[in-house]
Amino acid sequence: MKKILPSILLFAWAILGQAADQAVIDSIKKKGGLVLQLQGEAEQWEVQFQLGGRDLNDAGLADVAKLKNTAELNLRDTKITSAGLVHLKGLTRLTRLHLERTNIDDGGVAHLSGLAELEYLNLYGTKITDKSLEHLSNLKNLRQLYVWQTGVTSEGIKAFKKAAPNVEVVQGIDLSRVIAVKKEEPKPEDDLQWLPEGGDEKPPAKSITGEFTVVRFINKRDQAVKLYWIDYGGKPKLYGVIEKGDQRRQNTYEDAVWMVTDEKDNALGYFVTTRKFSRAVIPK
Amino acid sequence: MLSLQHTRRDFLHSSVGLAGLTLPTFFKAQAVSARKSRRKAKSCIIIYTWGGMSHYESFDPKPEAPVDIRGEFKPIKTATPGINFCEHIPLIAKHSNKLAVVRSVHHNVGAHSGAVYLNMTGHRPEGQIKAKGRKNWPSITSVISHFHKPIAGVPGAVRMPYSMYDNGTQMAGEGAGWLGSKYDPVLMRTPAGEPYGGVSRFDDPALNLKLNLEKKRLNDRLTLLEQLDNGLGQKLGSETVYGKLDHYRQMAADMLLGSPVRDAYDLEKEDPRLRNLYGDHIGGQSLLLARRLVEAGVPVVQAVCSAGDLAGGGGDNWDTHRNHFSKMKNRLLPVFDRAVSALLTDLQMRGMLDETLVVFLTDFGRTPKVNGNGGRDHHPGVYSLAFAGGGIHGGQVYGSSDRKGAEPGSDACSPADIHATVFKAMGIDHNAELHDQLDRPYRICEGEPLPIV
Repeated sequence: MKKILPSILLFAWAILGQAADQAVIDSIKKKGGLVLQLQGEAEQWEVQFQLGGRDLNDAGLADVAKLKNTAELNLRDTKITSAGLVHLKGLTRLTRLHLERTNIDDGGVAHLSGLAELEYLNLYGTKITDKSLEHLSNLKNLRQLYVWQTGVTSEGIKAFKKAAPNVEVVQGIDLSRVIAVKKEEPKPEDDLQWLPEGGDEKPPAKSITGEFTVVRFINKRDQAVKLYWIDYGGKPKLYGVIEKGDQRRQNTYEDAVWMVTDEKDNALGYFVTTRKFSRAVIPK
Repeated sequence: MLSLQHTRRDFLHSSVGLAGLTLPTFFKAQAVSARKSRRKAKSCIIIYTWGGMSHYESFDPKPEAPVDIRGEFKPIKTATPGINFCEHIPLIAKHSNKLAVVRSVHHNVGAHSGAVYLNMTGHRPEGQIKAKGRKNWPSITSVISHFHKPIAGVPGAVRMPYSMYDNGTQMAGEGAGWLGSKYDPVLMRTPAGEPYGGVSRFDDPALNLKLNLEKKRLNDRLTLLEQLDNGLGQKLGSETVYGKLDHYRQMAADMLLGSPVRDAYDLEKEDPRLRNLYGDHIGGQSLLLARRLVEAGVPVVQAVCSAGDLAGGGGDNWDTHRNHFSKMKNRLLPVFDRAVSALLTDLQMRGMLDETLVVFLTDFGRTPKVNGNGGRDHHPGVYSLAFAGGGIHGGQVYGSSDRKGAEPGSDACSPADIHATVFKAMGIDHNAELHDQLDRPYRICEGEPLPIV
């Protein structure tokens, strides 16, 4: 009996521990969090709040931190603050921690300096500065650190890398230096020939395809016209109406056939596109 | 029959194994694998270049081949010593340290319909395959969503911005097939950006969340469902497949009533400077939306980076039978280069890249010889694909094509092997069995994972 007693106690302790864990898991789920068991490791949990649990605050975090075997914790976009991070001190098995886009600063990061297992720490979009890096320089297992859109500077990272050369610090790009692609409006090079309905020169029966080009249709008639593209099978497809005196810029391809009709769909004439950006003047 | 034998010279030229990797790259790969091996990707973004992207003018330039094969463009160095890409993807070249390029994929299906099916499902087309057919193999997006369950209100799989068509015929391979309608990816229309030139078809019922975003109040659930019915069943009336699917309506309703997906769909909420980074084009904005959806918990997103209908080789798609070089240089590669490099930058600086697998798929490569119309034709004999993120070891090339880019030179692999690699990265057993509606078992994949995860 004496021999068995310790194992019984151990067993009872394990059961009680599991029951306690289950209570925390239930409370996490109530808060909109998600608890996943990590593959192959029975005792490790991944806890996520970034999708359904964004209302999590510091008081809630105190509850969450009771699940001691949490290895991965995602608090992105939640309402936690620096003060709340004190609760994470006990989660010494954390390997991945997401705090991005929360309202935390250097004071909060100071609470993380004892999380020796931490490999991944995401702090982008927070108020941290170079001071935070000092709190992290003794985390021996840290490999990935994300500081985009924070107060962390290149100089700060340089100094940090001296103390922690194994950490990849991702600073991201400066969005104010992104240059938008300017789209040059092409200048029409020449006028397409107007092929009137019933005229001597007939348009092809259907469009074939080639280079991308642009045509500017200009309606000089006294009435509105309808613009049809004759597709690859020879069927007309309505693209729009051009009011009298109006213009329409149209993306198309070379060797495309465009038909112009009056409002009652009586054909007036045709244009066949070329490779050049062109004007297509619909005559009076 | 393909010859899988290769000369010693070919081997030295390929970047496989120790021979091709430069030492710093090798050690870096080692260091990374030691620490990260446990991790599995949580989500997956599939970038599909519809029509068949030329391997010469992207990931596998052949500067030493005769001029009628190598084409007009030059190679450029990437960020990884010894790996060169085409000169017209200079931004992607800077991300080579994140990419594992596979240069030795091949199959023998020469038509788009069969090739897209093979690349999307990982299985050869047998008999008559029809779009939306329930006898089809499920799309890789559907299979992933079967294993990675999202939270309530988040779709298991999303595809955008439209379905793939060839001259008006919708392609098979984008749906859930025998896995059942529950796993059909939700089609979403990208709400922004200059469209691809040419023909794109919006015939399929797509979820247009923007319409609903513009409505100020969404409290009235009934009104909402009516809107959905109108939106989804528009043309097809009561015959619409989706109209009958309660789960689909339910999910759509959940999505609109405040799931993270609804916010993700609203690109106006994104920093306009970041939107510029992706480019003001549907190709870029689709990949931005893909990132936002993954962030909102969608396990797998497929983006078609091309016009939707090949339309006989016309329009901005990768089926470049005519004017190949100018179309690649002026229309296709600039959008692709900017969008893809922006996605990789964005995922990286948000700390999402190691849990997000990015996969590039296409129908096949293009012929070695440039044809009389200045184009390249279909060539399933060998082509290139690529992976990034999600536990993939970047900065490497797996396999090679021969000197002309006509056949695999070393480590030939199949679309099924590509799928097995995706499954492994996503933590899915590629030998797993799934059951169809009649409970018949199917092994999901016939390939083996490539050693790049």
